[in-house]
Amino acid sequence: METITQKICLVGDYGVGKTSLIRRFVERQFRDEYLSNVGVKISRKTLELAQGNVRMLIWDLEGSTKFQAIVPTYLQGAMGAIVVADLSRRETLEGLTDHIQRFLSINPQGLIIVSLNKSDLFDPLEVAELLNRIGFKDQQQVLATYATSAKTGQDVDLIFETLALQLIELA
Amino acid sequence: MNTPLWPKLLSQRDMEYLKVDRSLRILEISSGVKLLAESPSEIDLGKDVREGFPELFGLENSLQKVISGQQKSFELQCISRKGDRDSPIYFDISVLKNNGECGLFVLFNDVTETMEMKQKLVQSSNRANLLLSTITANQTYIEQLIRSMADALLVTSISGNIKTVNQAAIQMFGYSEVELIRQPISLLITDSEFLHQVGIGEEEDRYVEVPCRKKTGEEISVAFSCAIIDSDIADLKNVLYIGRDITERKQMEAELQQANSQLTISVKKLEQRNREMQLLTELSQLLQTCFTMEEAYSVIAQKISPLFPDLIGGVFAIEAEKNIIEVVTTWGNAPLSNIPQFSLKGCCGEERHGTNEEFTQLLCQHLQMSSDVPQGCCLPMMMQGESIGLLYLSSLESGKLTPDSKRLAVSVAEHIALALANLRLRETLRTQSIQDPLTGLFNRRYLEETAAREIQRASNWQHSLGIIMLDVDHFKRFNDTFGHQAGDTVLREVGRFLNQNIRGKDLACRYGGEEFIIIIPEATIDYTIQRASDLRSGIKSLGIEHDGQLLGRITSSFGVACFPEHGQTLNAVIAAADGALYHAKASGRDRVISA
Repeated sequence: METITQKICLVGDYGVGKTSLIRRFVERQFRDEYLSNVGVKISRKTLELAQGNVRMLIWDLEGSTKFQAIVPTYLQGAMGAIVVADLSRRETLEGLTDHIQRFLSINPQGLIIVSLNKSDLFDPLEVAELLNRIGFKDQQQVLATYATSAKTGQDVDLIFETLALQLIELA
Repeated sequence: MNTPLWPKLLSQRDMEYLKVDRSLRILEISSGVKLLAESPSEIDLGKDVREGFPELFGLENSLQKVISGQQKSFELQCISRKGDRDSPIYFDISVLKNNGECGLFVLFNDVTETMEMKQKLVQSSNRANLLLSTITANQTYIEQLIRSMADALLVTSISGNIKTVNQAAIQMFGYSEVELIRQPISLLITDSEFLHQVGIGEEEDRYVEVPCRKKTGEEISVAFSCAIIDSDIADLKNVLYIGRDITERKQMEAELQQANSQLTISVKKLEQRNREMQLLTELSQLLQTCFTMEEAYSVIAQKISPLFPDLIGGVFAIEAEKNIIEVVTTWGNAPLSNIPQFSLKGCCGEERHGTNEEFTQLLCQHLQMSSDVPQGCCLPMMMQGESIGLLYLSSLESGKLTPDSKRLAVSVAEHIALALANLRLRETLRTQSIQDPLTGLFNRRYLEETAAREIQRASNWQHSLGIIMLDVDHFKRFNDTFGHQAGDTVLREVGRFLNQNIRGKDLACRYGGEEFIIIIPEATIDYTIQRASDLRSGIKSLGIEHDGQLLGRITSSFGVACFPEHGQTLNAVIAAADGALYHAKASGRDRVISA
């Protein structure tokens, strides 16, 4: 079966759990300790889907801050992105739109999944209400928005698999 | 062939390199480049450089631009790779055009040292920012909670100066925030003792209800939860007050307490009234079972004192005909308890005025107050306008004779009066049923009832019983001469004479018209004849007047018989006596004839 290689980036503010999501997805592990990421780190994982195999090159980008935006060259050539926010920090939710716009400015045809992470800290009903409000329904490139938890694993595989599935269909 | 100088220069600067052709296949490898590769095994001549350095995947367009000269170079900075050590290694990738082989130079510059420092800085900065973000979010959350609290919140220094207030506190006390901040808490809380205890740190967490004052001067009650909390300055303490206006609740509590007190008093009064009613009912029922005044007096003596346990008193019966008052019963060392009877004169029972309620303020002259008896009253017991007795109550302590006890006394007096009046009425009816109204002697019906019993008793004891039958001589002529009223006077005087001249156990009756019968128990015929002779002489000597006119001498005839000598039954003996009377009449009257 054909294997395609796709570069995807995890973008979002610092401390939202990008590295934890990748670690959960690739290594099936979780660490509570916060370790900030500088630069970029690449992980690989191949998903075997019915439509074909997808070798994912997952770019774990340094979290952006108020004073340091994402380096555009990191985003070049990425077909997909997972834009991550922390449900417990309002400002990271408010920054989602900027991250989406920045990614699409580099990759106008890129596909995006929005991950609202650390959902384990909140009541599921509250989270569902928030998901209903934050839908990015007007953004065609945003495939879906999920509440995730790297700690519990909730919907972590789902966001990667959903993105991979769309990417292989586009390839 | 000369060895190029630049690999040596790169090596001196800790830089590695790769040469690749325009298809990105590896042409040349520096000695240490594999250490930086993500897959070192993929770093070999002829292999695609992207397999060893996947960071270059997706950047093909940029790389081709460098090859074609459209772009001078391309850089990827800060690539992180898991190194031999626990900590990662970092390197930058620079891509330059290789003019000689129409390919690319890919240069790797180790920046681990710099990036480790950066990582520490970023780690520290991000951690601090995360903490700040959490604190800010928490503070915002707490401020929102405080702002939306319905309860007033105040924070003061330990010395009592207000540091924080919320909207509810501003509304509760009517001051603006500016007017409250830095002001002493005593501006609001007026309980100085409580504030003193707080100030010296005696008041840890506790709930208090204290008086407070609003800006308008209005006093309100506020329930505060107080807690000593850490200040934002090290080693200093603050006091947290969370309060709720309970003025309305306190007022309602006070009203409820008052209502409860009144209810308790009412219940006690009702219980007392119920007990009194039970005792009064018991007294009434017992009085209704009495047949004589003596029995009634005994019941009154026994049952009246429990009705007035805190009072002393007495019940007195009025003998109007004798113009005296007799003591029926007294209790509690009441005045007059040692005097069996006294004059009706000066007694409030002498005349009836007003209602019993008015009489409760009266006191008879013979029951004057003394220093030992500061309170007292006399209640006449009235029946159909006639005073039949007195109820006297007094107290050895001032205030014991209450309106309630007077009200009870009125009720008791009415019950006793009703019972005594009934007994008197019963006695009157009984007397009227057995007494001849003209002569005051027993009537014939009573004679027949009583004489039959006397005969039976005499028979049982084997005694004899004498019967005297007498008839006023020429009574019809007397009537015709002087009139029927004069005749009645004669019969009345003869009756009174007979009544006064018989023994206590004898029985004198008017038998009919001018005929009388006297039953003399335990009497022989001789004794009976003697008694009859004495009575005949006595009647004969009576000087009877009517309307100031002397009616002249009266004689009477007597027939005497005795049980069992002259008959075994009453009728037989009476018939024998009647026969003897007939002989006495026939023999010339004014004589005694024995059967």
